[in-house]
Amino acid sequence: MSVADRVRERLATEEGSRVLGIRSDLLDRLVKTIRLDLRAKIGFTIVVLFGLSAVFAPMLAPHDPMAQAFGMLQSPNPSSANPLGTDSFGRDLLSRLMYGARISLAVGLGAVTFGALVGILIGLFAGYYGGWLDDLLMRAVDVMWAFPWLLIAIILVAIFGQGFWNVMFAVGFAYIDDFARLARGEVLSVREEEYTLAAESIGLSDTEIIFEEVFPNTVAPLIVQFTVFTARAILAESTLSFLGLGVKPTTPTWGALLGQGRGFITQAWWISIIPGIAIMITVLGINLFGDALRDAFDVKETET
Amino acid sequence: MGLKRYVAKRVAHAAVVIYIVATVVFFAVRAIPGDPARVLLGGDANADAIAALREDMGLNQPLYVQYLRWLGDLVRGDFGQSVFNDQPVLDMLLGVAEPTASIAALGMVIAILIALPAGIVSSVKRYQWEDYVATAVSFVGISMPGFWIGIVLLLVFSARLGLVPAFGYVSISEGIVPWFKHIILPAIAVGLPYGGILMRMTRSSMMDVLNEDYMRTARAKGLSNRLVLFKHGLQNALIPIITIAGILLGVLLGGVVAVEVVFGIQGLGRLLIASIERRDFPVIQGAVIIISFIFVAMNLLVDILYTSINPRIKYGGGE
Amino acid sequence: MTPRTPTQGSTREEPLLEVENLRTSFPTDRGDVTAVDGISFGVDTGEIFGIVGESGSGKSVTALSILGLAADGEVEADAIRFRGEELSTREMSAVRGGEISMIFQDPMSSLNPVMTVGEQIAEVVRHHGEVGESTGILSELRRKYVTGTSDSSRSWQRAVELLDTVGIPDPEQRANEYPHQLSGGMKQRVMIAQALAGDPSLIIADEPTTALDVTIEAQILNELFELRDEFGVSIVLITHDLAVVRETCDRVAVMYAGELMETARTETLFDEPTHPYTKGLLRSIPRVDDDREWLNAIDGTVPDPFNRPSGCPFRDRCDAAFELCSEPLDRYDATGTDHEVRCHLQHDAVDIDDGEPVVEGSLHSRLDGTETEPLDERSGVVEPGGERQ
Repeated sequence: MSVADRVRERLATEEGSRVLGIRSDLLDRLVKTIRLDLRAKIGFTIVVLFGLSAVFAPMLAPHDPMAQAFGMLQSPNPSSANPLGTDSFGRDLLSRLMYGARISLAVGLGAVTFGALVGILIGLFAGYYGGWLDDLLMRAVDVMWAFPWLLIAIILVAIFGQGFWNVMFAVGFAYIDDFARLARGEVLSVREEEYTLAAESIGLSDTEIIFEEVFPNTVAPLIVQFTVFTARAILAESTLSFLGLGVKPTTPTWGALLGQGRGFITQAWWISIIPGIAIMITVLGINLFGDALRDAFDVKETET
Repeated sequence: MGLKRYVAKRVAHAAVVIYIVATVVFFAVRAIPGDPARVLLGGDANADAIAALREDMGLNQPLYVQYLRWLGDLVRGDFGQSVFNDQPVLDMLLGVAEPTASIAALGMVIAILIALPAGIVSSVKRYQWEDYVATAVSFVGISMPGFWIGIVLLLVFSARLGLVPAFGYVSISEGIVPWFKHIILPAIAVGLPYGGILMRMTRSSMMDVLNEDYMRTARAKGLSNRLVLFKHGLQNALIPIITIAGILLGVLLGGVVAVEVVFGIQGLGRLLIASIERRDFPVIQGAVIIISFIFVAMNLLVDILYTSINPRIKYGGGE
Repeated sequence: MTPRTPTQGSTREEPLLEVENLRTSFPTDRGDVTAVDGISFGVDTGEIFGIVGESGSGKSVTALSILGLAADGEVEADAIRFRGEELSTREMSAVRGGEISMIFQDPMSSLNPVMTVGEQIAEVVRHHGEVGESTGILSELRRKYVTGTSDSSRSWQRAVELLDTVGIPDPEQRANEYPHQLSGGMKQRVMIAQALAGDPSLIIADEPTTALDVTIEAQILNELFELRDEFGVSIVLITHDLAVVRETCDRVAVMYAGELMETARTETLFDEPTHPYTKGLLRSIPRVDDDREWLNAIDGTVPDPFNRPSGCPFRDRCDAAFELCSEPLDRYDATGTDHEVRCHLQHDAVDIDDGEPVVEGSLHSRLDGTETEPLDERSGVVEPGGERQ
């Protein structure tokens, strides 16, 4: 295909076939994947179910998650009133789980969104401009990468204190380098494509080229990476909560529930085990969905 | 570029990274709110005592002086004294490094032992039952938090079956068997999620290799399938796997910290968390630097391993 | 179904390789794609036989199918005979790399990047030669990952010798190098050395020069020539380049959409092309003495593999197409010896009147083969028109 054809084709897709800057054929594939792929269907269903129960937790939860019932202390076992039993303060575990889903999902999504926004910007500019800017940004990314994520998160939480937003940023901070690397690599490969050269030759500005030509063509692997990292971020949040460095010790989160139940593991195992199962199912759902997307978008495992 | 020059370049790069990490850590730790002197003396200590202690700890000097002194000490291998119990930080760190290293190393071994064979079988038997089973197991593996796997293992193998001790750590110097019994469950707990990711990578990498032209050439030579796979395929498949295994070491190390808490093992992770609670700056700094150092050093090793199995780097030149 | 008798008027002896009615299809989500559709040919001892066609015409798949290397393809054939004996799949895998070897199109990707070129050649020597070195999986893996191949082993020395044979300077040193350290032309020489390592009587070369530049191309083709002259090796040369065919091949088959349209001696094909497709191909070659302003490309495109026309696959692009063309193809003799054409224009009952083909008598009785004798009586079996819709 000649350069002229490519430009023409690109201009044709330009008109009305982008949604939120994403090529519509990618969106079509996304929809098709969700409809046809078994993994995607299972994953999507799980995520939607947990998402809904999180959003509507105040309406759906059978009890106030904070309400302590000292009577229950004697019988924390599952019963008709407390389908999953109660914790050591007699608080209804099912209700706490549903409220916990709010934190886990919100922190997970928020953290990755933050990491992706910052990382992709760094990667796009580093990859597009190259030279000293690339060196500088990528050296910074190298240093971030030398800290295992948990250390970054622990230190950030120690500095800025616990709390929803702080935990979210702390977890998300660790993903900046991964997104930056991926975006940069994609930019470098897209940069040399003919349509980018064509766009340059017809005098588009750098930012126009980056956001209108380069970025949309790097979207597929980034979407896959986003999904995979959301799963990891939920695990990370639960780890922080488990270590007592999460949102707030009193807030019901999955990791914290699990941590609190640990002391009673021999008497009431379900307090620790059930939140873990909730984490596992959610993360599994997201991973399945991400894997289906990976196939649909033809993104290699080794890329993300 | 020859191998020696390449390695020298990587070592220099790693040293610079460690230096920047140390610097960042120093200032980051100073940003943690809370006065170590006050924390040390307790809430109701009088102001004079706190001021005296601050002077004593060098906290009243300008930050850059503190930094330079600290850096000078660091270069000489002096990580300072714990403000909590006055012990040299390095001794404290070395004292708890063994359990952490043991768990991480055994976890890594378990992950590799699971991931490589399962990944290879999965790629060769693509879309057959072997592949589906391996894939399902790896997905469950990467979807569980390591510390929770630890709790489940603890519940089943210690609390119920009584096969292994539930808590604590025994040094390898006191016998391999008790050492192994204490760290096998924690190692599985950190190894499973890591192994799950590694298996997916192996499968994907091996599938790419199976489609390569040189694999067809090998078959065209009349070699047996197994020989084609293990002689011509394996090393090529390992090249990307090794890179990713290095990058994912962070996941492994992160897992170890939480798993130490579950199994009540006095390791680097627990020391770090305890030190943050008591604002023990020197120990926090030391722990973070040591963990980053291990991480960077292991990646350096991975890098060198990578070059040694990839002749395109080892013997430079060519296109 | 009667077995294929040698082409009428042929004076040739029993061919070294004989392929009868080879069909290869690939299952896809949208149904099966037939890549090779019932082709038959023979290759004589010491002969260079060309298969020429556009990309996608099924040339490479033909080669891979013969060797049992068409990965996901379903390969069927009435017979694949080597030295007159039919080879089972298992026998073929034993012959592969030894008696019959293959040179691939892209030497950059067809050599293993993590093995020295010496070892890549030596392992063929060990597997197919008589050097008395173990080829068990454990010894091979030990050689690969632990000890390396000994420089003094016979297989290694033979590998060095072969590198020398194919014209690589400094073979002792080169044998220890990795593919990325060699130039493209040298890599292809290594591929040739590798193909020679099993003392083959037949080498199938799939576009061996496509990835190389023109000067190297000439050298490599020369190399193949010399192999034939020195060792009496037969060569199947797969190419899209008619100029290469003219320079190198003794006989040539023209392939289009998975079928062999015309098979002839090279001079015959160039002097008296008979099939309209062959004529079109020859017209599209630029010549030095050309004063044409435009090259004559053949109008139209290759048929959609999922929706192939009945009868002749070329009929939609053919200027001479007429009513018979939708009927299953037969093989016909054309002028000269060993000249076969699959085109109904050659049917005895077809006359060319004023440039327009005219079918004599009743069309259907002609096609039943009752009055004229087409070369291939199995035509109805070869291409059941109904299935092709």
